[in-house]
Amino acid sequence: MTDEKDINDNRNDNKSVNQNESAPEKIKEGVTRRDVLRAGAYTAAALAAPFIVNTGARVEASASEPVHKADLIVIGSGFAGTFAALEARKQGLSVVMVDKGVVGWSGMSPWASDSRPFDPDIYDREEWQQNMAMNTEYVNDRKWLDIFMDESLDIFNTLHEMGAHNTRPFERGSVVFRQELEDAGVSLVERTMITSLLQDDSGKVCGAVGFTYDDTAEPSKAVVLRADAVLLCTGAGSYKSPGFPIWGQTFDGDALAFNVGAKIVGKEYNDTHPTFAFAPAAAYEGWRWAQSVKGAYVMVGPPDKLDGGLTLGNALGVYQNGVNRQLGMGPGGEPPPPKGEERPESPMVKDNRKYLGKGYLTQPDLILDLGGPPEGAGEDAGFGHRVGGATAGMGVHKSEGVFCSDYSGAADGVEGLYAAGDALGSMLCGSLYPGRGFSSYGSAIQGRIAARNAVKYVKSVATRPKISQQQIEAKLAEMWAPRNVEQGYSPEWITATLQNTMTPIHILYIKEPRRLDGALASIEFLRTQCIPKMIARDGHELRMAHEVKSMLLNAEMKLRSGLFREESRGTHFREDFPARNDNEWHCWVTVQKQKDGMLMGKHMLPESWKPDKSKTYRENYPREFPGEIDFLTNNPQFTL
Amino acid sequence: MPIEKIHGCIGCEKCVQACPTDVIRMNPESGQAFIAYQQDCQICHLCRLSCPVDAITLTPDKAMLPTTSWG
Repeated sequence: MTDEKDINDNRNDNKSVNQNESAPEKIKEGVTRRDVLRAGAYTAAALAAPFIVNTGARVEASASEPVHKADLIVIGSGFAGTFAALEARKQGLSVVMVDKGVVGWSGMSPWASDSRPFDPDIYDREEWQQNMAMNTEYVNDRKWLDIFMDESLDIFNTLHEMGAHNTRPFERGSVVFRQELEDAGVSLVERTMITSLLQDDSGKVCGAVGFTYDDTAEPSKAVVLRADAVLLCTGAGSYKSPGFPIWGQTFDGDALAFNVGAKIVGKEYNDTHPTFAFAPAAAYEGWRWAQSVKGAYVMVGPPDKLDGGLTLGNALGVYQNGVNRQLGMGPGGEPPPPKGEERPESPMVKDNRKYLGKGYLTQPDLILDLGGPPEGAGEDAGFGHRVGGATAGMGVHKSEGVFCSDYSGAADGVEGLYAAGDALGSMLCGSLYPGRGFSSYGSAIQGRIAARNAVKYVKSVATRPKISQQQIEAKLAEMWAPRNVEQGYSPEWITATLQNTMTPIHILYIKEPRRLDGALASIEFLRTQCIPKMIARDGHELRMAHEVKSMLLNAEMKLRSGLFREESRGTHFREDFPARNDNEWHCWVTVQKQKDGMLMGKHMLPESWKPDKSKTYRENYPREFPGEIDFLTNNPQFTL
Repeated sequence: MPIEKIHGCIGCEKCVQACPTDVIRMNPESGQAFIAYQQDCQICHLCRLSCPVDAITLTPDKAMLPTTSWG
């Protein structure tokens, strides 16, 4: 178990980490020059912009908003939020938990289906460290993995005691977690979207504002939350891309944190889950389809294929769907097996066989019975017709989000703000997701840790930070704005335009500077010109308006981070730099708000985390990027 | 078409709570759930799985919107 002392020790250790937060001049100059050029062009374009009429426009009153007060606000109620809120309550804090949906239903937690306990009697600590580093290409955080290995068995046992192992996946949250939260006295504010964090004069985060979007029976209401600290458990996001059930997740946490000055890390990496051409938008169909095929790797699968051992092959199974393919060059590009032949066993399954029968098999009860391939799916169900883009925009679980350098869950540089789970850029999984269970268990562990540290912080706050009524009113006005705009752009159109810009394979999966710049120009236009003229005809559209605002901010962060990292690594592939460059890019890339722009930074990693120098480049990096060998031949400073 | 129809609703509101994208709302007059924003259905089936009387029908078809017109 990691106790508070261990966390403090980690924090002290971190001083030896070589931190090199820098904003390279060329980037800063580039942004400035672009900004100047942009100003003139936008004026003309905006004048010519077409509008649609907001038939539901009305000025929202914000004077009578209910105010909820607590010691701690937890935003989000999945694995991270639940474990965080329970921990904070256990330590005596009053907790208000706010969720865009309903506890247990929103986000990814309804779909989590794997266990990942580290049992020292079965697994080898050093083997996990080595395999995780190699799988995730040496930019994973080894201390977070240590913490994971300390705490994950307790998470397994706690879930078992709760009765979570005897439920269907979506009932674990909506029934089991909900009961725990209610019993613990956590106040629940549900079906409420948070749009801004509140800060006192010194910048301490101490509140949030949002609104209820369900206006069928009565109008939307403003919600104002006041506390000593805010813990983001808001999960990840995608661009409402077809084929993955995470449309409710739109990077809201990253946007909230970015807007109060927090650093965001890990935006250059991608999730690579494919979907199926048969019904690309139907998450459920794709998953039950994949489940039925031997060697399937998606979240739902036969239990005997899902042992908890972390092996070298784990990530290779995922990686087959990424950019590192000689054939296909992208998620879903894999050719079907010859007719009559079975698809070869994936490396993941092969490697996991050595642990079969020894470890923590995923509980059969946790598996949602999806019933095999849908009707009309064809004989070679699945693999021959996989297509990409199912999670476009989504980063790597645990490796994208609020940057925290001291293992406390506290956002660097912003007092009172904490994050856990997929909202925290812990870099536990480096540049690609290595396998099952790290996400849900990582969320639970980080939720607890962030809560422990938030409790310490809240107890140290003598008087509750003050927020001016003026600030609250300004944030509420910004929140209601799309309801009051009489003519403008619909959030649905902006979302579709965002999808058309960001989802194609040649933007985020096969990167090249001109294409990234082109996409960036489009995204910047949407953000600066269309967002202020966005209309919302009702509460539902107001939610969509704020969601697309978060998605656009994320898109810009992803494009800038992708441009910034001039190498290839893991799920970040640059055509013009198709190889790893450990001398310059053994680092994490951060992005931070700077006036109206974005400041890029490098956080260099400890020398001891680099690949083994006694091995060759190819031994350290067994996966070959397209064009890599030619590039290395022409650039002899790297060792092939 | 993603979520297609709700037939035989008993008014328990479970599907409204289960939907992560606010597709389903309660009709205050009839006390029954109705499909309010079909275009935002992500076909995750959580509504159907949560429905105690199996009242919800979904189909796997859905296309991403093309941006052929402005606004």
